Amino acid sequence: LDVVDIIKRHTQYVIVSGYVSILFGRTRTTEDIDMVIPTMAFSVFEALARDLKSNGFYFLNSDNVRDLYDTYLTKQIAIRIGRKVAVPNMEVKFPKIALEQEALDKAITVRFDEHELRMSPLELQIAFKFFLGSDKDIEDAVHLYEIFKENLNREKILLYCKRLEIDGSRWI
Amino acid sequence: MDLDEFKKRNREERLWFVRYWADYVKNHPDSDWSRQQADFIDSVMKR
Repeated sequence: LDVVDIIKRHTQYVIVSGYVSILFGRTRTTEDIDMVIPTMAFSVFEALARDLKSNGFYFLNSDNVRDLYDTYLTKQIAIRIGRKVAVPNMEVKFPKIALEQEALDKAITVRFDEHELRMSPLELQIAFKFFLGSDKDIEDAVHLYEIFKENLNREKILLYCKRLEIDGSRWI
Repeated sequence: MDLDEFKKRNREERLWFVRYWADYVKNHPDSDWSRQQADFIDSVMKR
């Protein structure tokens, strides 16, 4: 939450992947939290990186901000942000595919206690987990579906599945 | 039982629990399931 508070001072963001399921009760651990941020100019990223460093965070990939931008982010490779320890860390990347951009554009806001987090739309999240396809991913997707099925648009999930060229109907 | 069938059943059994737990989360107070979730995650992190 601390890292999110800093990132949102500089840019939009969306939390994707396993942490969404864990926040809603899935009983598993994770070594990272996945975040997509919009593609941005170096000057914007530099200010963000400086803010993170001055608040005690570090980058696991490199100490050099230019290197983080040129060698990682703009080459579609995620960077990882930690504080004191390497695990858990925040994995941050620019959108690589249209659906990641869509997750950013259509993010939902989850409010709990005094906090707010922007998360991938659940229909998209569930379809994407089916697409990733490991046991862990499918279980994450089924968990989310079971928790929210009364309020989810199943057809929308299946449409996202179709865009990802998979058959989601076997799971939900 | 052949290995493909074994793998399929194993996945179905795991999904049965995922659905069981999702139902538990929906039908119990947040303080109940989140305590169990926290205890589980803490126990893994301490190993």
